[in-house]
Order: sequence, then structure tokens, then C-alpha cells
Amino acid sequence: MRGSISRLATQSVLQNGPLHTAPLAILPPKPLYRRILRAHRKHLDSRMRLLGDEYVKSEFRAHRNVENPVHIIGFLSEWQMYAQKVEGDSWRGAKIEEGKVQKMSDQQIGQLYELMQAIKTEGEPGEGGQGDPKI
Amino acid sequence: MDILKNFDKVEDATKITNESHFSKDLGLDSLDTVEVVMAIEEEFSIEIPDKEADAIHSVEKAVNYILSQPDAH
Repeated sequence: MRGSISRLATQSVLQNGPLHTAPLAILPPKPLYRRILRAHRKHLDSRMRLLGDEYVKSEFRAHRNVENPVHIIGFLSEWQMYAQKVEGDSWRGAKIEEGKVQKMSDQQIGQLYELMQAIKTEGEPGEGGQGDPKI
Repeated sequence: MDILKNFDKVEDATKITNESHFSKDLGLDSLDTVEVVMAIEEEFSIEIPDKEADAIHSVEKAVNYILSQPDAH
């Protein structure tokens, strides 16, 4: 009995894996929004900042009327983890968690692939060459 | 403090006066207000603590806050 309880506890810890890196307190939307915009200002170069700012603005706007508490908590905690990553400059080269990829729809996978292609194109020289990406 | 008028991009700039209230007069929502306050921070190279940032919801309040900051420039 005791064994199974601790196994259950372990399972739930594993299922909630990403949460243990998140702070216990979830910031309310406005302070979080401020924190993200400040993190962009301090840690991103101007092009990335523009892109990041536009994205976070549209996401917060798109979700401002959400009422399901589970969705709200999910939204806030994911953005809070994002803010921590930007602040710590630890997002470069980070990988998407396997679980998240599995939960994606075909359309989302397609979008991710298109994003990857777009980033690759961006790195290549413009004059039709297949040369080395210019960095 | 005329600078304020220029970077309030979201709404009709002709409506902005010293007495303008961000949401009542200028039609800004709470996210817009955060964005305006962030733009003020950047413009004046200051960082406004959350408690005080929440209290800034009019042009007048913003101006008073900036004037009260010795570091603002």
C-alpha cells in the first residue's frame, strides 16, 4: 500500500515534470507581461525583440478573455518559464520536450517545419547560391 | 513631457492632453497601459516598480512619476 502511494506520487511528479523548474508562485498576467517585455528589452537584439514583442502581445491579447482556470494557469506558467529562459539566456539551442511534440496536431508539426525552413533560408546568402550560411 | 504624445502609438494622438486618462479618454486596455508604461521606462531609462506602474493610468500620473524620479532623463 505504502509502496503504491509513493509510486503514484512519483508518477505525478514525473507527469508534472516541467513544473519543478517553475517557481511556485504564478505571477498574475500584468506583472508577467511586464516581465516578459522587460526581458525582451534587456536580452534580445532589436530584430528578435521586435518579433518577440509582437508575438507576446498578440498572444496575451488573444487569451485575455479566457475563463477556464486550467487554461489560464497553463498559459501563465508557460509564459513564466519562457521569461525565465530569456532572462537566463538559456533558450539558445534548447530542445522542445518530447511530450509536447507528441501532443501537437499535424498542422502544428507542419508549422514547426515551415518555421525551421524559414530560419534556414534566413541564414543563407541571398544570391541563389548553395554556399555556406553566412553568420 | 511632449515625448509622451509621440510614442503613444495605439490611439488617436489628437485626443492626448495632460489630463487624459489612458482607458477612459484614450481607449487603452490594461495591456496597452502596460505597454505605454514600458515605453516610458525605456524612454527615460528607468525601471518602474510594479506597485507604482499599476498606479499610472493617466498622462498626468505618468508625468508626475517621471518628474519625481531623479534618475529619469
